[in-house]
Amino acid sequence: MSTTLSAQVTRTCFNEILVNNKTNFIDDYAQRSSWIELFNASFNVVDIGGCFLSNDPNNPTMYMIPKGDVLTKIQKRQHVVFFADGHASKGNFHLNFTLDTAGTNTLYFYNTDGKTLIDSVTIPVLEADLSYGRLIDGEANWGVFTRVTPSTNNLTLDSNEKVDKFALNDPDGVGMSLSAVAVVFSVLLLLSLFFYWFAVAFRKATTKPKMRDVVHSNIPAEGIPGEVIAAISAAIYEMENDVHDIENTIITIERTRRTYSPWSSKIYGLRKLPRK
Amino acid sequence: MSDFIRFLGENLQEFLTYTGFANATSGHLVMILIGLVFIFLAIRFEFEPMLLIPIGFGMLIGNIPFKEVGLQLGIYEQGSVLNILYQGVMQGWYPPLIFLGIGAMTDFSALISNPKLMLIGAAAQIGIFGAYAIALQMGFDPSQAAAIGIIGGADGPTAIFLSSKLAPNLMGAIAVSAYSYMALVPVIQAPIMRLLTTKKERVIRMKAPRVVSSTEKIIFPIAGLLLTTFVVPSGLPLLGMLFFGNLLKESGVTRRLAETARGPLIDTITILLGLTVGASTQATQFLTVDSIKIFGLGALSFVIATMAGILFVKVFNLFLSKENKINPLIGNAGVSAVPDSARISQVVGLEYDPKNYLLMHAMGPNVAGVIGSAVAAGILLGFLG
Repeated sequence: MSTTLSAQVTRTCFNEILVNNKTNFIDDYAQRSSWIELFNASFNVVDIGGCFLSNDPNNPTMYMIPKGDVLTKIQKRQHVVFFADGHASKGNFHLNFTLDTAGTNTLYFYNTDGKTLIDSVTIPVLEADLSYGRLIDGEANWGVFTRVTPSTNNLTLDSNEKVDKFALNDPDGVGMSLSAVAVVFSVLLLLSLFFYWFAVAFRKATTKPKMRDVVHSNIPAEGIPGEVIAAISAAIYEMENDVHDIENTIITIERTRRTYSPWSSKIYGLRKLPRK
Repeated sequence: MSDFIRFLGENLQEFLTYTGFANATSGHLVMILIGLVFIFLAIRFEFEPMLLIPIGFGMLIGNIPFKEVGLQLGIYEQGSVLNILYQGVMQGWYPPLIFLGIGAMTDFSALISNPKLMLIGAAAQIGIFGAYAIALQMGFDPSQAAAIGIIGGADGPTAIFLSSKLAPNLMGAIAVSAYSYMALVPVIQAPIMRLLTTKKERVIRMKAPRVVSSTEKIIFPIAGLLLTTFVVPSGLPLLGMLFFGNLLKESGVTRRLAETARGPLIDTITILLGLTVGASTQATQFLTVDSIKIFGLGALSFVIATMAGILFVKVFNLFLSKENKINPLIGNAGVSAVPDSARISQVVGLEYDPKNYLLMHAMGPNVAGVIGSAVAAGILLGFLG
């Protein structure tokens, strides 16, 4: 697993924020407060320990994310949530400031030097329990979420568009049935025609001249037994019609070496017949 | 000493709360009873024993009551042995492996010698879409209705494959329903066949199928794959494996691979599939109103499929010359319950003409049904997946 590089911290950004938390996500102390989600948009583990979060541009080092916490190492394309409850003593993910539920808020995320701004966002005034986040994790466009997604990706699918369309436009299933049956028939008809024409073409191509046209024999017919004629006829029939399958049987002939010893000698294994 | 006895007593009491007796519900007992019926049918009447015994015994395993305290016993508990084995069903990779084996054991000669029989296999798929339409009326959403409708294809692996993709929550009921009706093919199909055919039609003798050359047999899986999957790519997992297995068989140079596919491999997967599908019918998950509806719809889809196959042959015969007419008794074989439905054609045919052997003819639509149901599943997956 790759480790932290300072440069990769710059690919960490605000991803989703909920300011007015009435009935929403609770923290480890079963308390509700504003929460801020950061997203590691890179494909490496990023340690945000030592970086700063603030809601005041004049005080960029308002909250230093403590170093040495294993949880500040954000896995690739993953998230962490901070609670803006003003109680930093509750843990490393509890900020020492709160957000204004009645007005707009601007958040800043600074690099470890406390000067380099990595990301900032202004959150409009929203109704309680609505969050403001990027429509797709790490992307530029923001929107309001009625279904909040703390600690996970913002874009989730709660329905299948195709299914919804069928439910709306074809509630009786007639359209689906007709079109699907038509496709099944077309596919098998295609296969059927292919093999019909293939068989015709194949037979034409492989028809051999009749044996009687090419075989000249001086052997008088009355000199050959009936069984032999039957066997030859069967063989000619099979050859002309190409009906002889490739045989599956494989005979392996392997030479067996056996060193002679009286123990393996067959002669000693035989019981001698008693003499009367 | 008294402390020790009290300690033992408390432990014994605790142990009793873990036993099946303490945790049994009427649902568990019902499911165990159904499992026993499956095993009985398999042994006594030999109804699809290869499937019903693993499924029936799986039902017993899945319905042994226990206290759910994270011991990782149940099939729905993450990380349990049964749960790990069940992933092949959930992720849908058992069915394509079963199709590989089916391909390696199926002789498509009957179909190649008389390609028009493929259309019977297509007609029987109407059962799938008939059940789909009825399921919609019963309140299922389109993806659930499609997963239920596929029972009419009479193909267990296909039903499992599609339901794992479209309606995983209904998969247990769909799989059990599909396999149950496949086992009951003789009971369901024979009366419909008699009902829809006249005595004259039942004694139609069909032309003996021509001998198919090995070249044609080799071309079949290759052309079959290309022609079907170019139209319905979503059927690729099933059709790809089916035709690949068949090429292993027909190429003549991969005998060992073909034997493994149609022998040890398919046997292993069948055991795992049957057992885990059976075990997935935990009473708490399985005994629902939806399951009962699914069983009803499953039966209906089988009936529609059988009727569609037979009626299609009757209509088709109107356009065929006298010597090329098809016996409608092979219409039922368009559902892909191989080879049971073809065997029913043979048995019913012999009842009316003891010298009319329909088995070889019925195998044509029967194997076409396998292709047809896989194509139908691909279409449904493409439309709704």
